[in-house]
Amino acid sequence: MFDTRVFSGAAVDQAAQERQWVARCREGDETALSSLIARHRNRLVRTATNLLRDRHEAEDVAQEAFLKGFREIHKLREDRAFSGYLYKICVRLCMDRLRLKRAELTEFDSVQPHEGGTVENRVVIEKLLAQLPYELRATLVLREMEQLSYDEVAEVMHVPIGTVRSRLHTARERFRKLWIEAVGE
Amino acid sequence: MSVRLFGCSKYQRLSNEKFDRTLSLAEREFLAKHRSVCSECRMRESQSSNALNMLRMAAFDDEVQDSFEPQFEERILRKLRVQSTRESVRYWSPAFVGAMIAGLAVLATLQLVPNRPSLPSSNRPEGTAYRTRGERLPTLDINKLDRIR
Ligand SMILES: [Zn+2]
Repeated sequence: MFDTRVFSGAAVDQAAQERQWVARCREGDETALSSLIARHRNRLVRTATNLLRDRHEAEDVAQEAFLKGFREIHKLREDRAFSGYLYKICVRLCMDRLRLKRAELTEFDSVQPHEGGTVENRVVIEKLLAQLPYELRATLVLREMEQLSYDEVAEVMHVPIGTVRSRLHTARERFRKLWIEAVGE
Repeated sequence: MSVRLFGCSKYQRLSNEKFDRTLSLAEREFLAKHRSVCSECRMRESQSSNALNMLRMAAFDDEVQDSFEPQFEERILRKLRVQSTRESVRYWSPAFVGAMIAGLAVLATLQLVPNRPSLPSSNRPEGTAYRTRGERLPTLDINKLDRIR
């Protein structure tokens, strides 16, 4: 996902087009900047919303990621995909925010969340995630919600794969316990 | 009542790993066998599975689409424009400062060149009464006049 050096079918066109946009961005072409924003903003905001659980903050972070990405676009190697580069910037910015946020201690009533990813479920999940240390929280979200592979989580979080494995194990176990406390299962 | 059996740790490790890799046949058989006899592990596994399912369901998908604040793109472009202007000012300012210093030096040099004595400083004929602009004439104080009388 992060290193899209091997492309197939329509992805080839997309990747080639993206490389063109990146080249034009380096020359200060605003149309190319807009094209890159339009292509990647949904994914960035979605990921940031999953990590931060706050839509407005997620949009702020996504904008910040674009700014940082464009400012440092000269650092992007020619053979690397802009999408992966941008995604990593975004996740790291989210992690910085999570690190700064003090874990909110939330009182739980016993709640029975509704099925189907409803608002109520999201509120419960948000409270549970807020109680996990940010490394565990980010690992869990990237793996379970964003469905990244272990390699991708390791790369984006700048940690060895063994660390991802152990963090994920701990995060799942702690999340299970928190879940039991919350829903009284 | 739940009973903790030999192999519970292995069961928990494998039941976590099954989310992330394909277990071997032997591992799957171990899980099945242990699950059938250990109620504690069975319950724990079901809780874990429920919790993770709810977590996955709470993910924001592409529903975020089309609900962006209208100035999303414009804000990014504006900040980039401001930044590039700042950078160009920073880039050019040493040149401007240099030019200013050179200009001031030229002016100062011109001021230091002595006036030629052959040129009269004014066209006033010699002997004409002369008063500088700042000098004030004595004022007439009526009260003082009364006292003199
Ligand atoms: Zn057991």
